[in-house]
Amino acid sequence: MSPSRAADDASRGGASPEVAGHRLACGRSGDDVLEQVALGRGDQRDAHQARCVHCQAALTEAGRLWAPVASLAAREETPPPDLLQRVMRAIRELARERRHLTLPGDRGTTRVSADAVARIAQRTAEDVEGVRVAFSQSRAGRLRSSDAVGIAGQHVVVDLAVVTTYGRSIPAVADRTRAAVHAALTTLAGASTVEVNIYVDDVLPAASPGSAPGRR
Amino acid sequence: MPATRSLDEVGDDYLVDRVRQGYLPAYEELVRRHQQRTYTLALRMVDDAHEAHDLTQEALVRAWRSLPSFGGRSAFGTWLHRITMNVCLDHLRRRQRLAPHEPDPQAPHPDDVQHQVEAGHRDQALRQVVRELPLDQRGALVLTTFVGYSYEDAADVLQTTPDAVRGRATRARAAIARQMGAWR
Repeated sequence: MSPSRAADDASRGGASPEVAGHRLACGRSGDDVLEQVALGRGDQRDAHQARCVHCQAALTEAGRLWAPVASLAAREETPPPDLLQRVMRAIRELARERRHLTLPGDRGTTRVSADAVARIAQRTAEDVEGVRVAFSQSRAGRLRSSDAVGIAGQHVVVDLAVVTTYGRSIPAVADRTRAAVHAALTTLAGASTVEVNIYVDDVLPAASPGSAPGRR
Repeated sequence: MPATRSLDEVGDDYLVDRVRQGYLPAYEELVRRHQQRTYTLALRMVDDAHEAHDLTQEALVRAWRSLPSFGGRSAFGTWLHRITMNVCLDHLRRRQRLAPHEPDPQAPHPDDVQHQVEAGHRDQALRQVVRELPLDQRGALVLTTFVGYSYEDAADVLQTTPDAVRGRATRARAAIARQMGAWR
């Protein structure tokens, strides 16, 4: 069919009378045929369709009509590379407004910032034998240390990345670190429940005498 | 759940619980997991990459703010896409209110879709047909065709029945077939 003929058909609203919105000569619904193709089941013909020329023609036509849609649907759209960063930046701004450890008291409320919690966790971990350096971290790596601290009411979750001393048992060091940070955040900061996630980033030889604190 | 288990090994439900406890990296992981489909949904709804970027961001931030009210009756992804769909529909209705009689600025040609098809621009022609669909049909089509939802899951997103989604998708497909069939 020529484009002009197709245009004439289109103007009459009957460009594809054998498929969409019509009943096939065999009695089957053209919409159902189009749906079958759209759902990717064009090749799964039932017994009737296997022998019905009307259905076979309609399935072929529906496949042709739907091909551009299927092509667009198969295209994997890539989100902008800065989407994650933009979302998390906006959320951190919002979260910062509410991220305080809140300690109600008889004579007023005490609020401890996420930065303060992160600092206590870091310094406590660095005092644990077998931990050479410790810093709170996020998976993005470039964020403020307080971004690795979650606070809801008096519940605290903290991510710590540590480097342990070679020769020390990592599970034992992790357990000691977890216990020390838990104790510090409950006693120094007033948290009621604390969860400490520890990531061992590296293992280094013991530092020489006289090196900086926390680098044993 | 062991504390040392990494975030990419756990399910969405666990991450949602952690976010509710104020743990921000858990939401970062949820965004990482869902951003591709969420962006695709927005892009196919508004057909503009820049707008889709902004709307996806808005939806993801709005979801974070709404997490305390997330009841868990739907999967997190379905619930997020319900928010995204609403953000997109609000945007499209606002766009229609602001310029009800102006031609769509994204439209590649003001004439009939056939001109574009004839010129070999079937992709643009298709996108124009989708843009001209009523919003309820567009939503059903986008979810079931471009985001890969079943009628049941799309109904959960659109808060209607699977039969209603199927009816809208059928009308949308018929409109596409009529327009795209104008040339052979």
